[in-house]
Amino acid sequence: MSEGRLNPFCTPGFDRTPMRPLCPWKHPEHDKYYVDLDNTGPAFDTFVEGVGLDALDDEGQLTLVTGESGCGKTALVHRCADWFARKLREDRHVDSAVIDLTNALNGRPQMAIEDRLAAVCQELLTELRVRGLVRPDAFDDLGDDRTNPDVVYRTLPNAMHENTVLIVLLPTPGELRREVFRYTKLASSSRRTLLFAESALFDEEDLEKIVLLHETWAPPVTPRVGQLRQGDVREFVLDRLDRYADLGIYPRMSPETMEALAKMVSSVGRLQRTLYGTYETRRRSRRSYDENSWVTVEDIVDFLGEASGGSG
Amino acid sequence: MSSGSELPPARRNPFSNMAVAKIMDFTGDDAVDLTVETDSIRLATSFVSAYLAAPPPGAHQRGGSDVIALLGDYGTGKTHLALRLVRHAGQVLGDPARAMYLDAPADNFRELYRRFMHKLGLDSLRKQVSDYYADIVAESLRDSGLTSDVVELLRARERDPQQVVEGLGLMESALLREVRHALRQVTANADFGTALTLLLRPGFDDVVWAWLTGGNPHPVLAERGITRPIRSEADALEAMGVFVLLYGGRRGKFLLVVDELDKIFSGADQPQTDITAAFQTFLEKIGDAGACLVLSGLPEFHGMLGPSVRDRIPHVVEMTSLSTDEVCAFIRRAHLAEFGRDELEPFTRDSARYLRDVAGGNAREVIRICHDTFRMADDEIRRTGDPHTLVTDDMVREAARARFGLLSTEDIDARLRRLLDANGWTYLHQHYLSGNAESKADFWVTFADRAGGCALLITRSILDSADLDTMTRRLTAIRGAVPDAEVIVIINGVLTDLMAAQLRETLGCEPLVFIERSFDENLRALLGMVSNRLVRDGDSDPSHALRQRVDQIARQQSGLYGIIEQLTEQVDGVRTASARQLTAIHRDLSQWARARQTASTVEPEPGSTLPAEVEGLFQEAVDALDELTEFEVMLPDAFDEEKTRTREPIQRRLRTDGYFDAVGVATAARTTVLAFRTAVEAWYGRVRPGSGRPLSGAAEAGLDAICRTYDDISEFIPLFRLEALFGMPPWDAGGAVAGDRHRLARRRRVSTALDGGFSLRVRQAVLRSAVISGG
Repeated sequence: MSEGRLNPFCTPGFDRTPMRPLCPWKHPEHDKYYVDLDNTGPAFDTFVEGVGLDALDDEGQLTLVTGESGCGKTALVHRCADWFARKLREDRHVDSAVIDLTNALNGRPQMAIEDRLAAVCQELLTELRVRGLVRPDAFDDLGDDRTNPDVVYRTLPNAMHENTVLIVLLPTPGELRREVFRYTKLASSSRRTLLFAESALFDEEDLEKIVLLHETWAPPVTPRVGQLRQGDVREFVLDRLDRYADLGIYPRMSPETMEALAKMVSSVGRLQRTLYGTYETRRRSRRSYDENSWVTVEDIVDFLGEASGGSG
Repeated sequence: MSSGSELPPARRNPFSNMAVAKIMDFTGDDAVDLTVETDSIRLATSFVSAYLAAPPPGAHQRGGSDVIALLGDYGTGKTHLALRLVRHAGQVLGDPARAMYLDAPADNFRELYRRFMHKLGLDSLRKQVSDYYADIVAESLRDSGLTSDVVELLRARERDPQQVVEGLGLMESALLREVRHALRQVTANADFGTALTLLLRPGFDDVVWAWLTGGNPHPVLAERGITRPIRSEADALEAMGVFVLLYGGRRGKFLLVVDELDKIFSGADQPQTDITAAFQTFLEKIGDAGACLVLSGLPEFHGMLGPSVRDRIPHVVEMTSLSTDEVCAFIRRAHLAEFGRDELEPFTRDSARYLRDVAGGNAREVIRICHDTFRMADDEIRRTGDPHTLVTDDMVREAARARFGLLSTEDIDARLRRLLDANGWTYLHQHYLSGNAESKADFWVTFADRAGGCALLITRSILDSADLDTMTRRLTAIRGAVPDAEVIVIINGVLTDLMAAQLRETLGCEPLVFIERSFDENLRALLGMVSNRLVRDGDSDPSHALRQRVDQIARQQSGLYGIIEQLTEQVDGVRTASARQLTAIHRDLSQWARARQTASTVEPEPGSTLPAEVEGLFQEAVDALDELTEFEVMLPDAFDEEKTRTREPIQRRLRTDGYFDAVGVATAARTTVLAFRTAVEAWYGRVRPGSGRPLSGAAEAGLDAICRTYDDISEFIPLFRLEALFGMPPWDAGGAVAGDRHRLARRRRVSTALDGGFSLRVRQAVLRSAVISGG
């Protein structure tokens, strides 16, 4: 029987998809699940300092979150979007709408930048209409220009209801600096619009070049997440193990195991995968799974062996 | 005498193209290796074996320069040896993908590179990049100590690195960055590093492959910094070097054979400096990669490379001719493969020795003459019923004389005239130096300020003493008439070693055997030499010599003008003919199409299911024959009211000696080719090669049987009887006289398309297409 035996590394609402990043703008309870790992705390501060509520009255803005795969970029974007929406509501009594277009280009062949911009633009218009965020006849006069991002983003503020700010999560630009530049320009031409993009393929040098590219334009806000630091693993494990103590039973983890685990993982993504998988494997096994048992290094190694397709 | 229908069936010719290909084929496990171990073969094999046996250089160590040049004339077995080396390396390395054979099909490195890439294939390339990724992922896991078995599995290529990264939630972006860095380092080229890394990401395969195979960079690539196509000769060489580095650069060995490289280097008299430099860099990359490169070509290509490139080719292997023992061994093996009997009959050691002598030990010529003489002996056996009929020297001579593809008398005359005109030499054609009929010089060449002259005597093969006597009589008559005359004997055919020695004795110098590629140059050199040997004219007035030299230059110039005028006339003729026929072209095309439809039930279908390369071979063969007869164009013209002057030229053609004989041969050849094509197409329909399954042994055997049937039939079609058609002008030339270049071009076209292993080329193209489309 597995009643009461829960996996403390599950995220509420994402029971079957434990690797999905936290998303407080959709699941407000997620807001409390953020642990400042991977430099996400300073990165969030960068966003808060860089983005201005008032500035959006004149021109929109792009936030580009960078960092390696699995280091919490998407979770940070969601946190920033949620914070911004709440701030608008609380401080200025302005509504906002988050439009997630991160998958707008999935399943399509690789496209050139302008084609990608046009495809995303089209998706954006569809989403705005479906959700009633623009006047029904707002873009009727545009004709063929409906796929012209320069025209659409410029027209957007007038088409939206006056008391609304748009928060758009864009598909990743990958390694394309020029695409970032284009979105920065598009955002600046569109009042009350906040764009978010994230990429694992820009390093520090790329970010410098992106800033250089924006000689005469305001560069994007560029929070950067990093890798796990000393103590991060312990902080995360303890947070999750403490969080569910009253809700169910699960094994504990010794400081030594946490220390060993810290040597095996370098990102929060891998940490979450390893912990969730290890606890889940243990939970489904016939071995003891209660507050008196311990998840050990062997459990972790077994899981990693299985996950990598090896024999263990 | 019994008629053909009453004779017993002919035996299969063990020296047909397919039969020889089969015993030289390395793909089948039961194939009999025909190779006779000559010194050249031993030497080349030892170089490659040493390369394969040597430990790979360390990570930061540069490998030695393993570049081997195989030099030899046409037909000396370079290709055979090259393929043998590839097979050997593939077996030793345990991976056929690490040993590649390329033949240079065109006169540029771009085409060679294109072939190289198609041989590599996208799948292999993707796998190679994935191997780099696997190593990097393995390295990232190595220190964790948690997944050592996964590390081993990755290194043994038994785990997909992408699945491991996904499964363990590894930092993919950082790993891909490392791959890109590694690939940039290995290839020493940022563009290739970027493009190859993209193969690890979904959706980029097509654009990357299109760029790698010479296309313009897709905007998706241009936005990632790849803006230049691989277009120039230097680009192609650099790219090939990159892939040699990629395949050989880490821990693997890689053998690349480039055959017929002379085609590329002889394209220009002097290879361009940048290409030579790029080729030199390519050779350096071979060393950097620890790869082995075998360059095969005609002997002169080595000299064209320049000292800096030659210095990077430490091993040179010159192909030696076959000995009598080797010819005997070859015959025995061919008999063993075809009849299961290790025997020499109907050849004898003597006939084999003579055959070798006539063929000059040239492997291809040996096989040709074996083929023809076996057929003659077999015909004789069937005619007389005597099973012990042997190949005789007469048969060998007959086979050598009837060799298809030699120049006609008119051709060689025209060739000489052009050469003499172009150099401004004074000459008389068919000139008798005395009243004696034997004293006729085919060309009598005289030189400014030199007494006497030089007689050019043209002869067919000199194979026996009767041939030699004829030539000796001519020499005697000429020297009797003009004692100081220099003589150059030009042999348009074969000269045996024995006859060569005797002729040299009589002549006092080397005769000149006609070899297409070097004839002009050799004759020019010989004439220059004999002119210096002739005694100076008695006239000591220096101004006279000057005048004569000026005259020679003037003649030379006028010769050039003549050539230009001739070309202009030809162009005008074509233009006039085109204009005259422009109005009727549309109707002609419809008639022609109808005629083709009714001409044969085995006409190529418009929607052919054959691969383009295979279809192209058949089409070229049919076109070459159609160009000769031109029936489908000519006869409708005769009934065309607008073309009033067509009947007389048609009648003239029909009255030409040997015309119907030649047309019959052309028709028989064409029908046979089309039937061959139909059979291959039916085979395709049954087997469907390239549908993802490897070609089965039975399917390949079926293809071989079709090819052999073609060989068995076509060997009885006397293509040499097409001669009457070669000399006819194209029908649309409006009755102009056919130039010798045109005649030569037609003969060459038929010879290239149909002679010398048509079935073999079809087979190779079919197998190649099966491999390519099957991935």
